[in-house]
This record gives sequence, structure tokens and C-alpha cells, in this order.
Amino acid sequence: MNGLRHLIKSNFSYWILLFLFGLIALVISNICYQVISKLDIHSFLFHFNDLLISISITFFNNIIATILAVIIAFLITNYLYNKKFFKSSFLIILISFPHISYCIGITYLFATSGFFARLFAFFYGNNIPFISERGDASSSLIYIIGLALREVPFLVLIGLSVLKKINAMQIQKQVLVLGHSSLSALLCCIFPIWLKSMGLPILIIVTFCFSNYEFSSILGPQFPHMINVKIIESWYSTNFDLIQQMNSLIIITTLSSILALIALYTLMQILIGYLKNQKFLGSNNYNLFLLGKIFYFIVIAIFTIIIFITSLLSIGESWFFPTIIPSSFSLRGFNYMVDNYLWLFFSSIFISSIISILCILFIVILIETSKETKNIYKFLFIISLMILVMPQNIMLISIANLMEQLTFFSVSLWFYFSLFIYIVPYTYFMLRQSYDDLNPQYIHSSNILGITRFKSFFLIKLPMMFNDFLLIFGVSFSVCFYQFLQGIIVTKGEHGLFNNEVYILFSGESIQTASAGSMMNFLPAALIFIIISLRYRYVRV
Amino acid sequence: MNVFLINIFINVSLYSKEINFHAWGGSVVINNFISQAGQNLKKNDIDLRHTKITDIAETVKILLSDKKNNNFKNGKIDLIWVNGENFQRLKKNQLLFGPVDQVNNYMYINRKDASLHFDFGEPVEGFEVPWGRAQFVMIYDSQMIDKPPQTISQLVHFIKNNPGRFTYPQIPNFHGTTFLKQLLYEMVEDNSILQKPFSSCLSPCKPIENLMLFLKDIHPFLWNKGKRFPNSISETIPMLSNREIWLTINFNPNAAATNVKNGNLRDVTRTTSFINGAIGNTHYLAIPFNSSKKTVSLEVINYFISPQSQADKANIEIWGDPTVLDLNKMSAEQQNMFLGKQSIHVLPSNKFPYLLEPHHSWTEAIENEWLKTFN
Repeated sequence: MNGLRHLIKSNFSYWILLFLFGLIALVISNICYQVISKLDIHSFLFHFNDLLISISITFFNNIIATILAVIIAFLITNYLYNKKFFKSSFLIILISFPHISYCIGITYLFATSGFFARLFAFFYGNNIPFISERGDASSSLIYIIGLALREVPFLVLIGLSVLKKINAMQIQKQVLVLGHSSLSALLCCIFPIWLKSMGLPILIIVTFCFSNYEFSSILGPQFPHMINVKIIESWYSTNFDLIQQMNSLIIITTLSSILALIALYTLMQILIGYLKNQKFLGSNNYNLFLLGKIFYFIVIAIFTIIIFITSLLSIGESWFFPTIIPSSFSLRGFNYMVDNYLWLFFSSIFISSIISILCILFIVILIETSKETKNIYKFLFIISLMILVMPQNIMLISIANLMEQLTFFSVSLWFYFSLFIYIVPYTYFMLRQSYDDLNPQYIHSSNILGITRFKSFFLIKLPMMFNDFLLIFGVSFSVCFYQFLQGIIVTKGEHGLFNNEVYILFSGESIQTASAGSMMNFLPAALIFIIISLRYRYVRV
Repeated sequence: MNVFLINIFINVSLYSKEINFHAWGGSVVINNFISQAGQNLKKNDIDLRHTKITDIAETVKILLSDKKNNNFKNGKIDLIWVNGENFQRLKKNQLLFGPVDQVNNYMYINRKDASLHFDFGEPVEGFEVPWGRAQFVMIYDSQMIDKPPQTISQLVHFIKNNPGRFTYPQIPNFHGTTFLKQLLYEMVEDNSILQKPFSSCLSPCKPIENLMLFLKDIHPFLWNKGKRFPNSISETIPMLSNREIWLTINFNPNAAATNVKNGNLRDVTRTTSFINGAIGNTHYLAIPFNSSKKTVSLEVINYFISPQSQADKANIEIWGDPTVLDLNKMSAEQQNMFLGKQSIHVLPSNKFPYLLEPHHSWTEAIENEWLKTFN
């Protein structure tokens, strides 16, 4: 008995991780079982054939969007790293912008009665908007550009820390000493190393592309819809044919996402192999800096205009085409939101804060109580990968199925669990980076002085890592605060976050109220990131 | 505090008179109306909680799962706003409590009115109580359109002469499907076929075939050349106000008036419909089979169909949803509550004949054919 107690005590972290691993494995195996037990090859082939165009469009759009996001992110990263590193702190505020508000903002910018059309009308003098002729090709284009630009701030922030970690400046100097051009240094040495280190963020983006609902339903093509939308359509539908499609759609989405990852990985290897054998004669990479600068300003401009337009929409009264600025203003939208949703707003902040803090504490305790930190990292890495590789919509469908089988636990508990697991990967990856960056000499010295691990954490690590903890909290908070599908799939509307209510309001008639909700939605995460960026001159993720 | 913590982990009911009302939460005016009703019900010690859902199909899923798990007594949903295929699904799966038409204020409802007692062709049989009426209407910008279309040929004429200025919500959106049903009514010679199950239409079903041919003909002249559709009728409101489109459809004869009042539409907005008749339907309130507070839910239903609540609901300053009550069954004082302000934006009452919803099986048939043809 004592032996068992000792075993449990000494392997506390492993037991906890094994439990979490078991839960995630249960969720994944549940959906696998559900799908396989209901699998009918004939109906699957029939649906596959039926959905072929939808699958192709989804696959193509998501791969192109990811590639575009990576290229733009590299150009901006390169510009910021070499020229204006401090400007990266501005980007961190942008990652806190809610997806739904961003998509609505993009739609509003490019509509024939939208902001750009109004600017044009101001000079051209037309009082009636031009006829809208947006087809599927232009919808796909808007989807690709919109999604790519949305993911750029996230990739740049991680990309900057990668460049810093690999010491890109040093690599460049060494290549120049060997007589090669700076362009060769950038494209043949730095870019391949950078790209290899960006595997994980790219994986996150790919799985997001295949599971997001906001981008594909608001910006994506309609004929046919992308498979991300079709899953939710089937989820809602009372139409027997659409319900029947669900099983096939789960298999198709999982396979498409895995196939996309393989395709991107292969493409990456081919590109790296090709670049390694190339020499670029250009004496400087001025043009790449310029491109990076242009893209940086495009990203900033688009986000700024969207925030500006959303704030105008939230206070503008009867703001009709072709007026550029509303003639009268009121706080009616905000008043409505405050009267009806203030409690939900604060409870969403509270829930997101508690879950983020618990997640940070959970991982810190695991790391701090274990003697073999490397094994803990490996375990957490596997768990994070399991969560990230499976598209979110499918994971949540599985949780919803489990919830129906294990009815003893409340809907709230499943809801919090589904929120928690989605912040584990982000918290883990950032915490690990932070621990890796810590100078081990301090801990070593404290060990020699006989300071306990507990004391050394509070007296040495915590003060040194405080800014990192703040940043990790900010990212975890915003990831949790902007979760959306949980409120639809897991709780089926019974519980949700403020984000869900904003989405529902956008389906209503009052754009003013929905925009006011959108601004409120943006506020908490933005405030946290503004505080963080004020504390930092250099942002490190 | 302890009860709160327990509630997070396991299913325990907290308040005995809290009614969890599942209703679509997208409309500010509707949310305000329900919120006000909640304030009024507090006098009866009832706490009405509006769970703002995106689609009532979510609720149907919860109830189906409850039944599968033998949860016959402790359901968390106490009241739902429902109609059409969702009601048909709930009724078919025996997920509703009934009869609920025994509440006192049901005396103001005309029991002989078929439009209130058949929900998309499905007999209501006491499983739901009428809450509001709707009729298919077209809302237009009178500055852009002098003479609005009132027949299918006039509509085609308008669409072809004003390319890009009309659209309808994408199928399977409820309102989009209703528009197609309205077109079916305009196209068939004998309306009675639409009241029979779809299976009675010999394959290939001529009316559906003709409808698809008609749509193929007009789609190139729609907004975005028929290659993109709005997701809901609410999405068409800002489009109409900005004159991206000049004509849209709706299912509330007072929608234009309410939206003009709230500043969502221009003052020149007017309402019309099909002169030969416009589809009308009713939306209902129902109690799930496993609600643990059925008596309190009945009290809430009784409140919602009271003359005062219905008058508030019909008021274009509040919601503008036409009443289900029979004015002839009321006292003069009660009738006066319904004589609200007249508005030039609303559909003139009794001018457009009321057509019954086609049998519910037509909905799925139309949706499937549309998706097959255009998706």
C-alpha cells in the first residue's frame, strides 16, 4: 500500500496527464466508433460524389489561404525583424479581434453599398449602389484573402520569435562572409529554417481552416457551400437527406484536413529542397523589405478600417447609402446590449479568465511537480497535437454525443470542458517556450543554495516570467472568449459565451445593435493586449 | 453557493418558478418584447428566462436526446417557440406535452379557424397554442418602384427590367422556402394539390419541375446574378435600406413599419403582396414532454395569449406581430387596445386573401429539388 502511495505521489503529474489523455482519447474514439458503426459505403460514395465540388473548393481555398498567409507572414516578419521590431507589439492587439466581427467587417467593406462603394460614390456622385455581381469565384477570392490576412498577425508574432531564436541576423552575416548575396541568405537559409520551425502554427491554421464556420459561411462561396458550412447545415437541419449526410461529412472533413496537412508538408519539403540548391544574385533584399512593409500596412489598414466602420455602425442612426459618415448618432445599440447582455458579458469574461488561469496553473503545477520535465512536455505535446489535429467541429460533435450518453454530468460541465481543452495547446506551447528561454543558471544556483523547488518558483521563476505569464493569459483568454462552436454544438444554445449572442444578433435586422455587441466583444481582449503591449517594447510569443 | 457549485457538475434544478423559454434571439424588437413580458410575469413570481437560440432545430435535438436517455421528468426546457417542420418532427416523436389549449385565455381564440389549428397542414391537436400570425409580403422602396408587382408575371417583369435588384434567402432558409411555396401557389392551376402530401404528386412532379424552370429563368437577373443569396430575410433589410436591392420578401405584414420606426429602413418603404392570395401561417408556443414545470409554463402561455400581451405584440411600436385572437370574442375595451396607430408602411389588412401553408411534405421536396438543381 505504501508502495502504491509512493508511486502515485512520485508520478502525480503522469496520473493527471494520463487522465486528460484518456478523456481526449475517449472523445476521439467515440466519434470514430460513431462514424464506423454507422458507415454505409454506398451512401458514403453517393455523398462523396454529391459533395465532390464542395470538397474540391474547400480543399483548394484552405490550402491557398494557408500558403498566402505564410508568405505574407514571412515578408512582414522579415521586415519587422530587420527594420521595426517594436512595431510588432501593434499586431498583438489585432489577434484579439473576433472572427465574426472581422468577417462582417470585410463583407461590409466590399459590398456594393459598403464603405469603399460609398467612398467611390462620394467622388463619382451615384446615389444608387452599382449592381452587385459577386459570384463564387470572387467569393472564394474574398474568403482566401480574408482568411489569410486574419491569420497573418498570429503567424508574424510566432515567426518573429522564431527568427530571434535562430538568430537570423547571425546567419545572414555568415552567408555574406561566404560571398553570397543577402537575398540568398534570406531565401536559401533563413526562410527554410523559419518554415521548418513554423510547422505547429501552420498545423493550427490548417485545422482551423477546415473547421471554421464564420469565414466559410459569411465570406465563402455558396454554390456549393464549403464542407465546413455543410456540417453545421446538417447539424441544424430537420431535412432527412441533410441529416443523412452528417456521417459522410465527418469522414470527409477529417480526411481533407489530414490530406491538406500532408500536401502542405510535401510542398514545404519540395520548396526547401529547391531553395537550398538555388543562388540569388540580387545584392540586397530591398524589394522584399518593401513588400513586407506594404503587406504590414495593408493588414494594419484593413483591421483599422474594420474597427472604425464597426464603431461607426454601432452608433450611427439610419446610415444609408451613399453617406460616408452617419448624420446622427445614438447609443441605442450599446444601451440595448448593456440592458440585456451585461450579465452574460461579465460572466463570459469571468469564465474565460477562470478557465485560462486554471489552465496555466494546471500546466505549471504539472511541470513544477515533476522531476522529468522532458517527459511531461512530450505527454503534453501529444495531447495538444490530438486536440489540434482533429477539426474542432468534429471534436465538438463527439463531445455532444458523449454528453448524450453520460447524462449525469451537467451541460455546463461539458461546456467548460470543451472550452478548457481548446486552450490547453496554446497555453502549453507558450509556457514551454517561456520555460525554455529561462536561464537555467539561476535555477542551478538556487539548487546549490538548497532552495526548494517551490521557493525557487515563487522567488526566481515567477518574477522573471511574469510578463510571459501575462501574455499567455492574454492569448488563452482571447482564445477562450472567442470560442463559438461550443455554444452551438455542445450546449445547443442552452449555454454560450457573449460571442454567440453577437453572432445571433448579426442574423437579426439591427446592424447597429449587432455592431455595438461586436465592439463590446472586442473590448476585453483588446484591453488585455493593450496593457501587455504597453509593458513590452518587444513582444515575444 | 454550494448549490451553485453542485449545479456546475451535475444536473440539478435551481429555481422552482424559472421558465426556460427557447426562442430565436436575433431580433432586437422580439427580444425586447420577451424581456418586457418577463418583467410583467415577475408579478406572478415567474422568472422567464429567454434562451436566445439560433435555430429551434437545436432544441429539437436536445429533446430527442432527452427521450433517448429516458429523461421524461427533468427536462431543462419549459417552453418553446415553434412551427412548421420542427413542430411536425416534435409531434411525430412525441416530444410535446398536451393538450395545452385548456388555458383560460384560449377562449379568445377561434377554435374553428383552420389557419390556427393546422400547422403546415399538420393538425395541431392541442400540442401547441397559437401565438402570432404571419402573411407573406413584399417590402419595397417606393422611390425606386412606382407600381410594385402583385402577380407572378409582374414580378418577372420587374426582375427582368431591374436586374440585380431582387433576391430571396438561400434555401433551406425558412423564408426562402416560403417564397418558393408562394410561387408554387401562383403557378399551379389547382391549389388543392398543395394541401395533399407531396407523394400524391405523380413523379416527375410537374409543379416542382415548372418551379425550377421558372427559377432557372429568373436567377441570372437576381442580385449577384443568382450566384449568391442572403442567409436570411433580416440580411436583406440593410440591403433594401441601402438600395442594393429595391424589393425584398418578408413574413410579417408590419415588418416595414417596425423597421422604419427603428431607423433600419427608409421612410419611403412600403408593403405589398400577391393579389391572388398570400401564404399565411401561424407560429406557436409549446411545452416539451419532459418539462418539470408544466403548470408554470401553462401560466406563461396563458399570459402570452392574453388580450393585453397580444395587443402589445401587435403594436408596431413594440413588435408588430399580428394577433391570433378573435376580436369578436372580446369586450369593447379589449378591442380598443388593438386599434393602434395606422401606418402607411404596413400591408393593408383584408386586401390580400389568406392562403394556407402547403402540406409540410412539400417543404422538404422543394428544398431537395432546389439544392439538387442549384447547389
